[in-house]
Amino acid sequence: MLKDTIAIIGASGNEGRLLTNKLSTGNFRLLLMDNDLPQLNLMLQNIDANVDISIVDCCRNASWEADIIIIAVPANQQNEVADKIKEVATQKMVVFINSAVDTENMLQEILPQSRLVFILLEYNNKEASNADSILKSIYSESLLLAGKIFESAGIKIRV
Amino acid sequence: MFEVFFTHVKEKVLLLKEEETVIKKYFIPKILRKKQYLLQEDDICKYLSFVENGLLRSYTVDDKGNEHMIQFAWEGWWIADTYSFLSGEKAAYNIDAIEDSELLMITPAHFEEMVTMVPKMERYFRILFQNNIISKERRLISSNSFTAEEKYVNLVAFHPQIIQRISQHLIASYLGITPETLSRIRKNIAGKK
Repeated sequence: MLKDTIAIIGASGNEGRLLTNKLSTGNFRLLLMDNDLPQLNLMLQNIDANVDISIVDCCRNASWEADIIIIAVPANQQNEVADKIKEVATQKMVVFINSAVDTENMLQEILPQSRLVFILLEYNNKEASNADSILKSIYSESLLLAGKIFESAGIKIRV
Repeated sequence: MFEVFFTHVKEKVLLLKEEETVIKKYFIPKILRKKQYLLQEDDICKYLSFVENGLLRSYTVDDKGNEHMIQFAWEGWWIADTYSFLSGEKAAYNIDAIEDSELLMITPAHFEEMVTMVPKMERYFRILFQNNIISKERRLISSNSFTAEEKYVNLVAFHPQIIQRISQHLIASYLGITPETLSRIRKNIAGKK
């Protein structure tokens, strides 16, 4: 069975690091993108060498190569990222982590052909052993798929 | 991103700008790295893929682990395990990238929706499938009736770029001959010139 390729945009932030660590235990190919390249390189050193993971220098290229796109940048940067990837995100699942309140419609307008899933991710500490998430989407198949991915990565989900 | 695609489509049907806009929303843009799989045998072929840039191959693997080339697909070509794509049954083929490639992929459901929304695309694909049948008939004749050298000459005549982009052992596999035989054929041809 083929592995899905997941791009994590904003991979060196708190949520990005959490998701990278969790998803690296699953059967995925991971593409990490962040402006903080030294931090990304440090992260790679701490991940099992057998994990299929690499750094991509641009969010558009990472999203183009990915099957699933996770946007883990701060809420006030999510519009900008969505705008950069809109051409290459058509018909793909795009997961927004901890978006600002009431931005869902605006993000859907920027990405009208993408399957948006919004995730509120809660965790207690940087190791995030008790990571918990609330998922929301108008696309039921994408909601199911996102739920499966997060559960397989050891993140509790609530729909 | 859709330059090669629309150039190819417009060779067969005329499209309005509004129709191009509608068509674009059904396709998934995807980059595939060299040696990365698009499809593995026994999976379901979920996409019909157009090669905007790059080079892919489809092939089967026998019980001894030998690969048998079915098709090469470079810029302007479509690739899929057609039976699996249309039926939802398991694929017989593997498809992977020989070069880093840019693809436009469409699912069966979106394919149906697209040809309903833009009926000219139904004509485009009908022409495509016609050409595909002709091509397969030619290949069958070649396989049954031609000598190894004739097969090679015929292939290069139709697809001259094949020598520059595809390794000798893959070309040999596609022709159903050994790399050593292909090497001999190429020396013979070079000697005749």
